[in-house]
Amino acid sequence: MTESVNIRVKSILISLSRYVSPAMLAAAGVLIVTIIALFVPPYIGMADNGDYSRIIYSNGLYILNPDYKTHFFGYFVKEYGIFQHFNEHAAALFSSHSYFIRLAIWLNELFYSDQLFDVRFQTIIFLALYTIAIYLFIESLTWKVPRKYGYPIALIAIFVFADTAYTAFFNSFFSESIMLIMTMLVFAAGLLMYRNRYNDYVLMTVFFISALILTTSKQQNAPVGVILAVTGVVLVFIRKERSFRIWMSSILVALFLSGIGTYVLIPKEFVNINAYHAMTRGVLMESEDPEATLKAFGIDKQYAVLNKSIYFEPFTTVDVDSKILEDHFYSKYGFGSILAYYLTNPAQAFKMLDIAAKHAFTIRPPAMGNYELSAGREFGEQTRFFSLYSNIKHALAPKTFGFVILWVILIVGLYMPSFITAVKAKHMRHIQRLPLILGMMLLGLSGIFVSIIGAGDADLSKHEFLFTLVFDLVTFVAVADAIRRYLWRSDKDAAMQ
Amino acid sequence: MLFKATNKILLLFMIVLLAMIAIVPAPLVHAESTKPVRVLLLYDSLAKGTSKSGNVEALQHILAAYSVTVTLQSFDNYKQGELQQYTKVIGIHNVADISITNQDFVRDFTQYKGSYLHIGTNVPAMVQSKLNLHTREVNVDTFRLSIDDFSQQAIQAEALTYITAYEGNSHGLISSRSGRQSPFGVSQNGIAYIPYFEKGNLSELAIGYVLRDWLGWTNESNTYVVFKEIYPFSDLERLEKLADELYEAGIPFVVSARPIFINFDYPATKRYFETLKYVQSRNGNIVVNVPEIYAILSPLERDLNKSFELFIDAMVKQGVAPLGFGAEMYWTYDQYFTNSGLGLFDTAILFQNKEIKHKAQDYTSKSFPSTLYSLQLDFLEQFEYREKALTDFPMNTAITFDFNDNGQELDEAVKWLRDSWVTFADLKYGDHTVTTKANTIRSSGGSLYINDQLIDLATAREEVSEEFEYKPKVEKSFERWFNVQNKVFIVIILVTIVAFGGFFIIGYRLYKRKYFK
Repeated sequence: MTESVNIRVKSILISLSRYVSPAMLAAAGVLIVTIIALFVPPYIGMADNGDYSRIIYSNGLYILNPDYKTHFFGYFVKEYGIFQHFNEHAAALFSSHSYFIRLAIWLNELFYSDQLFDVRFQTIIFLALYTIAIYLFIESLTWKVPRKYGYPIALIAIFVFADTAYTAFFNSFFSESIMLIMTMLVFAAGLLMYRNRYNDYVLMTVFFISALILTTSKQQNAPVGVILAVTGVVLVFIRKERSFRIWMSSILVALFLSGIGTYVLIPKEFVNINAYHAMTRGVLMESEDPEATLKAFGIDKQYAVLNKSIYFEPFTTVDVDSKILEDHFYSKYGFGSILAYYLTNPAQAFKMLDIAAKHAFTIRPPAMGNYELSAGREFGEQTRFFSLYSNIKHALAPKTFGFVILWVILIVGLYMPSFITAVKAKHMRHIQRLPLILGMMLLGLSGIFVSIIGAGDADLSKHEFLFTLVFDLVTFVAVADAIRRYLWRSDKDAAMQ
Repeated sequence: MLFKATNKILLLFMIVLLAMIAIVPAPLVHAESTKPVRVLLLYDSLAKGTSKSGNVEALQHILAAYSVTVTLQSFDNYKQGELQQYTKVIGIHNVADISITNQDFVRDFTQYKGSYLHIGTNVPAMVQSKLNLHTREVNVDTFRLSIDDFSQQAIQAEALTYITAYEGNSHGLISSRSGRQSPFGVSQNGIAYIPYFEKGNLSELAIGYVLRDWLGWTNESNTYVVFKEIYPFSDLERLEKLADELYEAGIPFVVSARPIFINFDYPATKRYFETLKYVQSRNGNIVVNVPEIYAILSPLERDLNKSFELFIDAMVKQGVAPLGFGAEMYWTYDQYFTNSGLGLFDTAILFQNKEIKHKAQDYTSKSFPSTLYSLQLDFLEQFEYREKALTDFPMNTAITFDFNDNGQELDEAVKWLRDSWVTFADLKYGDHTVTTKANTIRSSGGSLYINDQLIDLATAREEVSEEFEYKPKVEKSFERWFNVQNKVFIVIILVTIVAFGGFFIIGYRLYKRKYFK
């Protein structure tokens, strides 16, 4: 009986594999689920938390609804106006996200309207890129892998990456959509190079462009360029041709510089709220003596009254943009001095990391609603459609920084044997796998560090998106490698292309 | 005989008097007199982008100082029958070529018998006839405006209506370079007319004089000095120095102190309150400045009433007695703020609107029995005036200064105050009450009371201890037990390491013996 079932499953798999590879199955699955979620009423998207205006006005869009503010945090809004006259809102911030919005506006004007912008034109672009990213990512794990391993991996991929906690970002102006797609593409390109699948030059280009877009999508991602440039050094040696090595080295240098550039170039204009929280919800919050801490920064000790205050409170003592704060508070500290403070006060830093870990496993920010007002849902209601994975993760992950450290050690430990073997064999392509995975994990950790240093514990679940994403990607790769039995050892060499 | 008769008459007179007192329901009379007057303020256009922009808001600001409840409405939104609910109506016409098309209003207005003040163009026939008004329109004019002891030269207007003949009282004078003259406003028997009114020049102040007459306001008005922008992290030493300087100059003043809603037990908070207490002892009066409103709808729900009560109770605990609140004028046009928070106070200092952040906008204002109209010195400095004029504002007025770090500006402000001959009023000489669930703070005749206990303004300041446990120590249970346990484990681990070492040495020897014989 079981044998006949086995035979039947096998025959189904064989006939399936004739038409659909696991990568294609995963890509198609994610595409279909996401289309149903985002393009079939009730449309799922993300409510604005007040951040949209920064990015949309500089790109030629404006808010149509006079009652728009009442939708904040509560309802997703899909239509915006397109400026018909000269747009005096000079680019408020330099972000690669702008190019996607402009492309979407162009498409919108071509096919829909030159006055009314439907955010779903941007969604179409993102979804197309995401489908490609999923395909490449799963291809890197299932190429030349037995069917009985390949399809389960593809199904798990759909379960995790079609989760609407991720895809709802596409229907928004949050740059998380770009982070999702580009991080996946960077990882996929790295893994495909490791597997020696596709042309290395093409993959190098994909790696570079997606890493560049990721780094420049927001200031918080400035470390991404630096981390990828450092952990990517092995990539220079995977081919022996001089031209490849020169190209790859230049790319890594460019990424390094783009990271620094992002930190320097993105204007300071919007950092006041974050700077406020970095001090009140970070440095001061876990301090044993906030007044002494303030003195260490050269700030008047009376500012201790702001300890633990949140700017998002409806009523606050002081306007976050007021001159008194500009002159006597913000001007006294910056990213560097806060980093130095945490380094010299490691106990406090660990307490903050523990607080950060509480939110590090949440994909969907709890504050923002997913439905349009017209859907008749409650203010701030979130969708339950295809979100089992994000809910399980949110509920079950052990939320301590110790767990994050264990996870890093575990992953590094699992990939160490194959790494040592590759080093002994001086097999550069295989050596590259561990640094790549380590690089990805560092990206996630940098997300945590940057959000604590940059904004304390405020709005952590949104700031830590990069970590929660990387956690899923890396854990998924480890699980997939375990399924296909290539966790301990490197893949067999494929024929050079 | 005559003596007896006089006695009888006197007795009879006293009996009649007693009976009259018994018959007249005194509390009712009192209630009638304290009920705020309701005013309907109608406008044709807010005239945004023109020189008249903001004049409706300026009028709301001044009206508030007369403790009237104002309902703001455009002529277009007027609904039948509304006029009859009011005894005082103001109509502002900012645009000459917009006539009233709302027939409901036109119909009701012909029936309206109450007081009416008309501002601007399109003077209704009723006003013209009751004031026997003759006017003349002039395009683009430069004129001098004077009222009471104030005057301002060279005010420009795109169009101006000159009153050439009228009946009734006149207020102020408009005189053009070409010799034309007209009163700034005229009023008679509840009907009044003001041809020109803009925000930011003397007409804003002048309208106060006309309103005082039109509203029949008879209360004595006072002029106060107010400092705002005072935060817990402002330069508190400078604030104390300011208090000393003003005290020495004999100038009573008010500080509008920003509230905090957390960390009441912090030394920093206590130092803030101690400074306010010191200010209070130096002829300073404290009012609670309203908090900042987060620009967008906050996802967090907070009760403003409770927050204010916490702050006020914490102040009271340290001997500071706030007497009212300071806020931008729009706060009184917001249902949320007036129902929650402002209800604790009966005294308001209303500043000009800077940035309007409504939570639940209302078109009817809340009035406060005691309201101060705030103006800044640079507004006054546009005018020529005799110093005496500053004590004779028609409404209670607060000359307001920002307390900021610009030492020079502050020094100049003190110098101006010291050099002026104006007698500024002391807020605590008036009756003001702030009521929280736990405390009632009251001022009267120059004294401050907390829960009916007179507070001694000269109490010595308390030193605030720097020692404070910011992070409460977590109560540890079984601490001794865990200590013992730790030691046991340390011993076990050490023994194990030694044993392993021993085994390792033994094993190595055995290995050597076996293979290296």
